[in-house]
Amino acid sequence: MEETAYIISMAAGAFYLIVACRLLQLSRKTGEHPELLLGIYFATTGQWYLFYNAPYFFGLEGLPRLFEQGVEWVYAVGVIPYLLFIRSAFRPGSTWATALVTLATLCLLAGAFISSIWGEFSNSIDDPGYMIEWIGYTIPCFWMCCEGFASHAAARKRVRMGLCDTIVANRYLLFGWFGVCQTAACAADLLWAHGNSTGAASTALANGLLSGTEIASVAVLWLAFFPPSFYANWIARRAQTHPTPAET
Amino acid sequence: MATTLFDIAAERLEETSEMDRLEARGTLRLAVKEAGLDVQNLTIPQLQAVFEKLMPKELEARGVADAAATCKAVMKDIASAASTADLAASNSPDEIFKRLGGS
Repeated sequence: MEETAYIISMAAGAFYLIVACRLLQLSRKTGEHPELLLGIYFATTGQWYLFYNAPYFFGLEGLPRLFEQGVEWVYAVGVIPYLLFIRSAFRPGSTWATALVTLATLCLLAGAFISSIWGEFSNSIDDPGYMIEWIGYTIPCFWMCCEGFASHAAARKRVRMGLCDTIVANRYLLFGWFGVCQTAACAADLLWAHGNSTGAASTALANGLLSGTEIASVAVLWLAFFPPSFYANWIARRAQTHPTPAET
Repeated sequence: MATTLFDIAAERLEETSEMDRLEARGTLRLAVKEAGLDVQNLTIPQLQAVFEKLMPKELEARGVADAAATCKAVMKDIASAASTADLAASNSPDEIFKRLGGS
């Protein structure tokens, strides 16, 4: 069970790196910040999935502490561009969004710092650094989920007005679902941390939940970034059946 | 406080339709919301669609005489007045999410 979870996480990490390459390439072409920020996020997340899981899978658990800390710090810092992406895409110039980004950033950095001082990144609910960092990386996941669904609802109206592409409206929905999957993964992380600190059997359940959410995350991102023609056609056909508000 | 395209359009609507300020802004705000748009980040094409497809009905419902002509007059006025509004379009959420899919 645990080995399967490692394989799924590493495969998800490899997929995130592919998405990152695509986004970074896009940002070089367009010179725009949103794709750059999201690309950096997926690059750091992808490396974390690979370098966090690979040592366990290949039985290399005696790696230097500095390696473990480096991987965790890159992950903690790598979530910050994701927060900035959500703010720049959905809430540019919003005071509360800036405050939320600041709060989550402080949690990420403080959590990683405290875990470094604590002596290890223990992934246990007894480790205050882990809990603070958990808050920091759960905020953007839940935030993306809210923004994705809210934007999808508004975009559907624009589609009917001829002001938005159906595939773009659907991409908001997919990002909303990505937020749901990642929030569920954060909940599984907490369950795992609980199992780690109490010795409860919840780690097996957490591994299953984590694997499921990773598979679902990869699936929605695949549809968002590499929509196959059958899917794009299906989305377009569905939209054609809805009249515009002016026609109703 | 910065003047947005929404402010300009609402002001023109107030002048053209003889609605009071509150009614003009409220009517336009409802139509913009019904179109799934954000009043702070409107572009001219978006506003054009609102005035073509939604506002005539909204104005008729509020007893504005010749609603279609009123909408046309407002659009003509604001087209020249808001050249900066489209500058933000490259980073509107729709543009960002369109680029993300490579479309």
